[in-house]
Amino acid sequence: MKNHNSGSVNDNNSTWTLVEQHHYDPAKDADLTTAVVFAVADAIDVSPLEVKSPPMYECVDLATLEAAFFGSDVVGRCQGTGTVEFVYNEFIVGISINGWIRIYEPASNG
Amino acid sequence: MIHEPVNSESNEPDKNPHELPRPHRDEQGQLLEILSLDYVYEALAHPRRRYLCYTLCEDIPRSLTDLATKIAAFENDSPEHAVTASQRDRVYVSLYHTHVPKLADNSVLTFDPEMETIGAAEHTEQVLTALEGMSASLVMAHPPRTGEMEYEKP
Repeated sequence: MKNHNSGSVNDNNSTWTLVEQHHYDPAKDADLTTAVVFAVADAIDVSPLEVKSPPMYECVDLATLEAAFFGSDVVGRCQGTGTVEFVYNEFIVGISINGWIRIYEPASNG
Repeated sequence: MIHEPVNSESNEPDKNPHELPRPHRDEQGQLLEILSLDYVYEALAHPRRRYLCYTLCEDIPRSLTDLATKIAAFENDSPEHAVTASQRDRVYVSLYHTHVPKLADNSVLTFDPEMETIGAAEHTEQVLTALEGMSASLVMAHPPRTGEMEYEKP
């Protein structure tokens, strides 16, 4: 499990920098897919409707992840921790069971 | 055991090779077919996917934006013209990124990425049959309010 507290991820040889984080609240926000796409859109600085290629489903089934992490039979009972991470275009998207959606991009070598 | 399924039969001493098919075979075949209909349950597991499937009853191509507006109207309990762009866009994004590709993956619908319309596919009919069966039993048990009917028959 990667350490997110420092705001960056070490993935083999490349370093990833946290560029965006949104908190997903299953009680208020309608669905996880929307929350993740909006976070990615903020990271790229485009409208969420312009985040198109590829559809998230080609990377991860967010509806199933939503049920696993935030389903009504999980929320309030779960004392565990867990994060799912996947690569979406140039980003790493991390979704934690505590609701944090974090977007990382490769740190510039600058 | 797995690799020698015929053993138990061939060990029976008086087996008649011309006997009629075992009476359970049809039932078993049907059971196997029902148990393998994963895509039906997958398709119907989420209310937004159920809505998408229902719209396939009518043979009219519908755009994702249209569908998102209708779903947002239902979910916010407001008429379509009162749906805000933000409400519509939030539904649209979930359809585009999760629900439509999942249904397309299971051949329950086709998606035209250029026109952004959905259409019927190989497994549409089976899913619709399951939906009809469920709503028929629901209507018997709890006659729907007007709003619910609107959702079920877009």
